[in-house]
Amino acid sequence: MRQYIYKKKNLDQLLSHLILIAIGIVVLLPIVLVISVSLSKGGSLKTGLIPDDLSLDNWRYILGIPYVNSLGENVVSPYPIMLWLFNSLKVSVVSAVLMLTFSTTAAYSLSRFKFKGKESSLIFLMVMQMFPNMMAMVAFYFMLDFIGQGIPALGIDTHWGLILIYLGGTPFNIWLLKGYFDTLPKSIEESARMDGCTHFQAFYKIVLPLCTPILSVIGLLTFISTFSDFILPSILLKSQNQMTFAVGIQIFVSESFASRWGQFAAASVLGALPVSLLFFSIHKYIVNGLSHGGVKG
Amino acid sequence: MWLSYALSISAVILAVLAIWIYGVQKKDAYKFFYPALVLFVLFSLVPISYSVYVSFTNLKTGHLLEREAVIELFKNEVMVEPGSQILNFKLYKNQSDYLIVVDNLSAGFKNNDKSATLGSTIVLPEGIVELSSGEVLDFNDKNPDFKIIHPALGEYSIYRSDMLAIVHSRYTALADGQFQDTITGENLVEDTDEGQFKLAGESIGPGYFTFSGLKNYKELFFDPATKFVFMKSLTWTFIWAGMSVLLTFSLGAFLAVILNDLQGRSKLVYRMIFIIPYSIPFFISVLIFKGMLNKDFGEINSILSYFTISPVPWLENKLWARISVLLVNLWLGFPYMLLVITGIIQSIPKSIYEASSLEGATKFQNFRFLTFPLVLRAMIPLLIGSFAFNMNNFVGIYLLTGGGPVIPDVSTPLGETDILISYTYRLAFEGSQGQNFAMAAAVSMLIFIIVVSLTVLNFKVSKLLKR
Repeated sequence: MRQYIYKKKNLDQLLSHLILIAIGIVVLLPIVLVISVSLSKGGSLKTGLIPDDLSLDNWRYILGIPYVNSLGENVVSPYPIMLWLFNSLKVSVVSAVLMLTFSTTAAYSLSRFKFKGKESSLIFLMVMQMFPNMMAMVAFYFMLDFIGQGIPALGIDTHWGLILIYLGGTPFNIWLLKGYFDTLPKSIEESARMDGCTHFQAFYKIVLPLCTPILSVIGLLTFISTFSDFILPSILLKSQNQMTFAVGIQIFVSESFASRWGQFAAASVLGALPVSLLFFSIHKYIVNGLSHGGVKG
Repeated sequence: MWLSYALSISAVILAVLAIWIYGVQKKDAYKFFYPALVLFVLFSLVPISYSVYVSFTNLKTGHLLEREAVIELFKNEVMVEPGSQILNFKLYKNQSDYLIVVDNLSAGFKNNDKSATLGSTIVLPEGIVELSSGEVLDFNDKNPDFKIIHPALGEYSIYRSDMLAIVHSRYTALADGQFQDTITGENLVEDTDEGQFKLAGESIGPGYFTFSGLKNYKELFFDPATKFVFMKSLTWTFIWAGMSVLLTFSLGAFLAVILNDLQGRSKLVYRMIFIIPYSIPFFISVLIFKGMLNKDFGEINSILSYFTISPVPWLENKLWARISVLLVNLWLGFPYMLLVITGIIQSIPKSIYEASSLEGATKFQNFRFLTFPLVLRAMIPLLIGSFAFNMNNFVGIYLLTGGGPVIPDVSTPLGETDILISYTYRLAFEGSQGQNFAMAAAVSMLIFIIVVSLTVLNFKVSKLLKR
């Protein structure tokens, strides 16, 4: 009897492993495939998962390094792929930093103070953070168009205009941060206030340093979601040199999937790797945040 | 107009508030809160209210101008005097000296002259440059009343960048504000509901932007052609979001349970692998799948051809396209469920399983009567959230199928896989029949109402569960 149970348990485990391996293969297949396509000369997989025509041509193409192709022609990419990546990084970093700056003090205020209008502000924030900003896409378009007539640097087809629109997403960050501040004991600042600090000094010198981990996590989350956004930059950015990575690469590959597959594969790896690594570096925090209902999914 | 009012009024209010908050009152709470307030008044509240406003207007291609601008166009509209002769010309410039040459005649003039009288031919001076057609038009914009007097033919104006003509106004502005067509002698009729001037029932000139009340909403719900498209997209949006949640939840729960029962450290490796799809920006994964699902050269069809399965039209056929978007979204979305459900399972106290094993429960019974109900209970708010997310999962649809395959013969462009948010995008920014911003805004308001209802539902459910 005992042996039977042991065997059955082993069989169960074996079955589990088989299922998990099968699903693991399906999960990894596209990723392995894209990496190997990016390293093959032809840009397609005729030969199997490890390309027998290993070549860095696709990578040279996207990095803007000239190379000689199979027809003996000199090739330099006419597309500013690295610039798109840089644009995305710029917009995402600036948005993340500004959003943190603006949302920290507000979240602190909501968590620590009692004031007139606090309850209604909280309800208002709650509703606002549920509103996916893409729903106002028509309004954003006309708003930037209008602002651009007065201040060209903030108009359609500018990075600062796009960043402004992202800043409208602060309610979500405020909400997350408020939740964190609520968990900090008030005694932390109270002792500082006793020593004669102003409220702002206590916040700046005592509370903020304590929050650096959660602030950086929220900053990174904002960075990732801004980097991954497609719809707003596709509406608000027009010229090729202004595009973000998401928009540029979508147009690049959609024009001709067949002939640009290899180059697109290399670009995908380049674009996905940093974000993926960032994600894994903070994934423990994300798991906590997930069960509170935030983040994509 | 409305937008400039909204923005300037908000700016004034915010400025006054700033002075009061930082200058007059003493409460730190407001001082800390103010910066974020600026952002969401200007970049959440104003745009949202503008969206609401636009949904009650007729803002679309052909109705983008203000009424005043359209009237200005009528005032400036000119026609060539019937039977008169059109002349070709060239315009030259040397610093502030201009020279106009018509056939064998020419005239020189200065920057601010109102007219030039053509005289005998002169030899082109050194250093004088011919203006391009764009520069000629710029000149004409700056000097709209400039006349060129031809000794034999009369008073000419610049008509095209290389043509002079004797012109007069097409429409005469009457004292009562109406416009009379100088050819037929009839008055233009203004249709204020539509925002359009008409002559004998025919639209004349561009329309203007005007308030149209509930017209867009009525059209969505009562106009048969529009209603058909809207309802089709609405139905699919619900199927898509519902199926996405069901599939990702099922796979996520299944894997979470299997992984939880697994012995040894291998479960950590599996978990790591399963999280990978979630760590990659969705737009990249979706584009990768778009390539792999390509009917002719995509890897998936070539793998299938090893098993002598003929190519599947993954993105071209209606049913396959719907299956494809759902499967790709399953790949993208199950890690989220896996992560969350794992967390929930780990928080279930072990003691309840000990109790049930004393009762002789099997593994399946444990799952069916303990784990699953507990997980589901904790997951309901998140499932509603996930439903709302997928309702607006633009990237998952648009980057894979572009909303296609396109449905033939529908009033507004719509594909079989278009969800409401991609339909909105098409209406506003992709119009093969022009851009209909107003209708797009109306559809997004309806999406908003659905999302808000889901949120309210979510609250109610969460509160109920907490009790």
